[in-house]
Amino acid sequence: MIEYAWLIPVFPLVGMTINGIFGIKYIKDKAHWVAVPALGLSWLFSILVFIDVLNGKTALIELFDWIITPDINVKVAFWIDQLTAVMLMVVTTLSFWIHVYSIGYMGHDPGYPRYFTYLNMFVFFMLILVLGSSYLLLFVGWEGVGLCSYLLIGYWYERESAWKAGMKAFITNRVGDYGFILGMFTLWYYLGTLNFNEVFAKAHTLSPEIVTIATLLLFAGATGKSAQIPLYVWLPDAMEGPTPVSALIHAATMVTAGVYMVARSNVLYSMAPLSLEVVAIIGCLTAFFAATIGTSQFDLKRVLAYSTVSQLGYMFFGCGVGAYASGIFHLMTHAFFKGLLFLSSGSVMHAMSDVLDMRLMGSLKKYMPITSFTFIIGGLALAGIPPFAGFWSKDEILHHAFTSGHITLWFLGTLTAGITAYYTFRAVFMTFFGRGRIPKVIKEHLHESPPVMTIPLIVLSIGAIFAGFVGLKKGETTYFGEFLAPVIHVVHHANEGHAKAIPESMLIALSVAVGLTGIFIAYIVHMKKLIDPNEWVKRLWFLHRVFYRKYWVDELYFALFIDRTLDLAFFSWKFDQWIIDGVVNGAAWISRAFAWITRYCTEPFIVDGAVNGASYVVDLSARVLRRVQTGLVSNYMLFVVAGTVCLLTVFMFIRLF
Amino acid sequence: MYQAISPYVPVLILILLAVLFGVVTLLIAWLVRPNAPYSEKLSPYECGVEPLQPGKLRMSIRFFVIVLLFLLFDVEAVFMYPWAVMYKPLGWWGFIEMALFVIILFVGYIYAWLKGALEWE
Amino acid sequence: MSNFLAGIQFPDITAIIPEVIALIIGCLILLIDPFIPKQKKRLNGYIALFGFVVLFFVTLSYLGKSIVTFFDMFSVDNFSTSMKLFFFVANFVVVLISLRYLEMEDSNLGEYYALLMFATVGMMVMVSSKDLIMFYIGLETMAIPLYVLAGFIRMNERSAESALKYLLMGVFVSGIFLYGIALTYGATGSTKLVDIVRFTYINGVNPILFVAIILIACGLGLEIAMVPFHFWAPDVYEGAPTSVTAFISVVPKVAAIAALLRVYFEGFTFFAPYWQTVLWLLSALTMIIGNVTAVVQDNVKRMLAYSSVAHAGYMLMGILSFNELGVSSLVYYFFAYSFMNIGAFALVIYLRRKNIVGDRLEDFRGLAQKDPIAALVMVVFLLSLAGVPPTVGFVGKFLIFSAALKAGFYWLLVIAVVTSVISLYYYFKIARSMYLEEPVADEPLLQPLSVKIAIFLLAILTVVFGVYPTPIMNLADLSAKVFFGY
Repeated sequence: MIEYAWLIPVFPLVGMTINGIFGIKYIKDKAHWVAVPALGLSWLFSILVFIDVLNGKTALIELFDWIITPDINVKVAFWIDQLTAVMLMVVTTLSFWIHVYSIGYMGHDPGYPRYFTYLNMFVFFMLILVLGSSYLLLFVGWEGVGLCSYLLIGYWYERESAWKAGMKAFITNRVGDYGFILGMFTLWYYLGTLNFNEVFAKAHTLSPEIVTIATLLLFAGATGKSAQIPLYVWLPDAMEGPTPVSALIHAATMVTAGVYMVARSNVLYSMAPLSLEVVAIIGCLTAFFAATIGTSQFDLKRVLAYSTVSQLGYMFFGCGVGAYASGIFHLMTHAFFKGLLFLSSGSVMHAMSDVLDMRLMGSLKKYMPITSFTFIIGGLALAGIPPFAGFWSKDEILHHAFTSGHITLWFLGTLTAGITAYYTFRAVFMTFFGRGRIPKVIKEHLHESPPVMTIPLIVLSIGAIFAGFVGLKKGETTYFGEFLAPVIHVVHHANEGHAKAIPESMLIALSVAVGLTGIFIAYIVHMKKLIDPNEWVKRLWFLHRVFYRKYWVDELYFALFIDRTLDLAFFSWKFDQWIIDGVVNGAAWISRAFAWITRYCTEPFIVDGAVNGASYVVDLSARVLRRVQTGLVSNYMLFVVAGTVCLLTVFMFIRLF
Repeated sequence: MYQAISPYVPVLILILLAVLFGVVTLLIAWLVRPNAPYSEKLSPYECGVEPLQPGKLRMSIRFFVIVLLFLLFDVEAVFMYPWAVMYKPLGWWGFIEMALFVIILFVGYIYAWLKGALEWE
Repeated sequence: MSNFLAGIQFPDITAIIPEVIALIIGCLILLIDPFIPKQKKRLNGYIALFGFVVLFFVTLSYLGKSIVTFFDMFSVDNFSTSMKLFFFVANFVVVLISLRYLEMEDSNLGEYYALLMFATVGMMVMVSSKDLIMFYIGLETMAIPLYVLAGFIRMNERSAESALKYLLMGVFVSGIFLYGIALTYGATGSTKLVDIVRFTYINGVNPILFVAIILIACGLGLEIAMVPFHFWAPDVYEGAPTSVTAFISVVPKVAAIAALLRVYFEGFTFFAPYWQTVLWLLSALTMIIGNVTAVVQDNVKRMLAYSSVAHAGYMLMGILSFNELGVSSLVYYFFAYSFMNIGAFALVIYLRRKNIVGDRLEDFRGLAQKDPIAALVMVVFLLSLAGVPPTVGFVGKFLIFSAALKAGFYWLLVIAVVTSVISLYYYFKIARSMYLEEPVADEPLLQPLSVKIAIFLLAILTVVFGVYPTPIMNLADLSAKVFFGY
């Protein structure tokens, strides 16, 4: 079956083409009859391929030549191994069920076919990303999913905030991509190839510095796509898109591309301890900071968004401490429970007429039993309570962090687990329990969602409960770790022996205890109201403000980069304008310039003395620039001559000395 | 490098001197001269007869076209002289070259004719 | 007296057959045009279309041939042949988008196509010549029709203004170019590239030639539109008829870059480190200024003008890499650039309707609702211009960047990557207008068929050759072998 794996991305491509061409005019509200079966077939094929891989098969499917020159050899080829198989399963499963869910959720949207076109396109590029056999092909998918993410965040373009968020996402991602491209070029320059198998085979020939630079640059790309410090700012805003999109792209699949890339390049990362350390620290810090921000948000989807940033941090943390398999394991479990949480919140949103402020919710359990049930399952998984999926993977990451000697990071990670449990159940209690604070208008037509939405919820909650069991211990490693072992190059830390002093069961007990404490605090604060949250806010006003304003990172970026870029653009534009806005009058230029020079260069020295001279010179040049009403063409010619003379001078000097 | 530049140093000095001369003269004149402008002094015709009508005369555009065409075919004729002198040594090759040249111009001539550039009205 | 021609052989006329055919077609259009009634002027366009197809196939048969004739002044090799093929492909599309546009502008005259042909002849001479004087003749043969074309809408002031500007600048800069040639001749005693390279090989580097190298770059820099010779570009691009803008932003630029490449590679081979430095600076400046200034433009034609300045910077990277990959990536980039850039301008033409030029950002408003397919196609072009996979623009940029990297220009690569990130911002301003703003109720779109065909053709080429670039890559590799094949 594995040799037909190339069909997997073809199905969504076909679906996208059909919907894209005929959708708006002919198919209209039947668009799901094209999109969903296409995904169903992809899912089916993925399962078959997965079974083949379980039986130990891997394959390299070469489709056709892409860029072939004497120096570059990149084929369009798919590389299917254990890691790809896991990713395939995650992507197609989630995609299929979220497509199904979308039928209900997007039902009455006027842009229905457009939505499914984008969604299919996204799945296509995501599959290219995970199947690609070279960094370049991975990059194609990488950019493609970025594009789809942009289109889908800005899907409701009538809302200004939506398209702004879309732009922000795309541009922030491009900043990261810039690192990725340079990383790719570094690899190509030193190895002469970009195909995974060749790169990894030749990696040992690289010097440690080069590997470090290349991996750091690649990681810069990952921070953009996977929303890590310092480029995480786009993800919370990306919640402007439709909720199924948030679930699929901004929680389960696309944002995990960075983790996949790091795990895929584990051979390189393992050669660069410094890079690994950076990955671990950035991951852990992101997990912590995002979690703290999550405690203060009132928008249900934003809480989930920050929790996604935080959980992605965990995945990188896992990779950074050398536990790539655990990182991928967390990626998989997270896809299930976070997808589930988003879809449940979408269901809430659907019922609440798009209200998302948790202060206006409460007691929803009465009205929406299935949704609240699935949300709680997702919440338990996220909080890391056994036996739900999140527990197994998170615990494995923390365990590896501890045994590899990153005690500080382990501590921070464990603390984060507690905070995670707190904000998750803060959301649960505020939304589904307690006193109803729902406005009357909404209350009147509050209802449980239709089966087409609840069935995906139930399916995913099964995943959120049972997906963790593949991480059960099997001797030294886990079932999941053993499956991935062929693609993972294990790092052996020198101080492993020292850390073994504390038994694993202790660590597990500790992290479970921390999680339960978080839930307990949320319970007494937001359920029992034993402590008034407002009182706390007052007492810790400073912390609350910092969290609520998200550490002012957005404002900082604006002041530092965006405004500066615009200034530069504006300046160079004005510079051109000044040349353009003239009339043909070359002679006047010289006489006027002379007039100004004589007037302002002589007068200041007489009147104000030499001290003020300098400011006059600046003033003068500005005035001259403004006063120069020169001819268009003569001025251009002046610049041509000036440019030529400058070039000659510069390069004559280079020659002379 | 320096060796190659050195013959041009006098030229450089000459340029500098020329610029300096202009600047210095203007500067001195500006410092020394009395500055008392009045409107007649500033008018372009400070002396002589006052203009009766605008200096711009309208010419028929056709002159322009005719002049262009004339120049073109005049240059053609000029080009034929050296060929006539070297007629023998250039032989057939020269003849064909010249024929091509004339043909291309002839196409231009026909074009101008068809477009009505040769007619006055 | 009679033996001064004795050593000279009769030139191989077969080498210039494509040029002759193009010239004949041009003259033919001029002669037929007066007999065509005003309503049927399109016939001229069809003749030109047919002519480019014929020329394409005639030139295709030259692929693989290598002829140097006319006293070492004219060369037919794979590089020149593939460049000529490029001209025909690009011009074919330009004619296609001109057909209806000229009617809308009420300037549907046969001269347009004849001038296009003559400009093409000039460019064909340019890419084939191996002599500086021949380059100059080609350059002027190309440039003079361009000046007329820029002012082709005679009744439009903007068009006339842009033509005059273009003319004045062109004449001025070609003086600089001639000065460069004169210095070269003074230093080496010849204008033939073969002799120049031989002279420098025997006598070592002559400092006068350093000046000449810079002057030649400056002289060609106008058509290339590189900083600081780009000032004319936005004005002329905005004023000229859009179809002509599409033409001059692509084809003459490519011809000038190809000419520069040949002069530097074959004439000034031993000066490589020197002109690499010169071009390094020019390319960096061009990329930065072009991309940054484009950010604040509101007029799409001006924005694309700055973007084409920026693309000139990327193309210069291909020359200064001075390696085989550089040349082949450059040839690929030429094709890529022509598809996407002509495509973007074709969209502006597509929006041309009563009283609306279609070049303001507002004209693109809500296009996604008015004509979703046109909007989608525009996005494809914009993505390609920004270098997003899987389009030709991405493959082209990737190739050029790797060529520069292979030659060891790390910092230039960093600048190039950073500026291409910036470029996305302004390209997406257009996309945002199309998708995220409400359409303005105004004149309905005309949707002319010929423009539609051209746009779809270009969009398909943009994607297909991005996914499967092998055919163009093969051509590009063949042309690169001309310089590095031994």
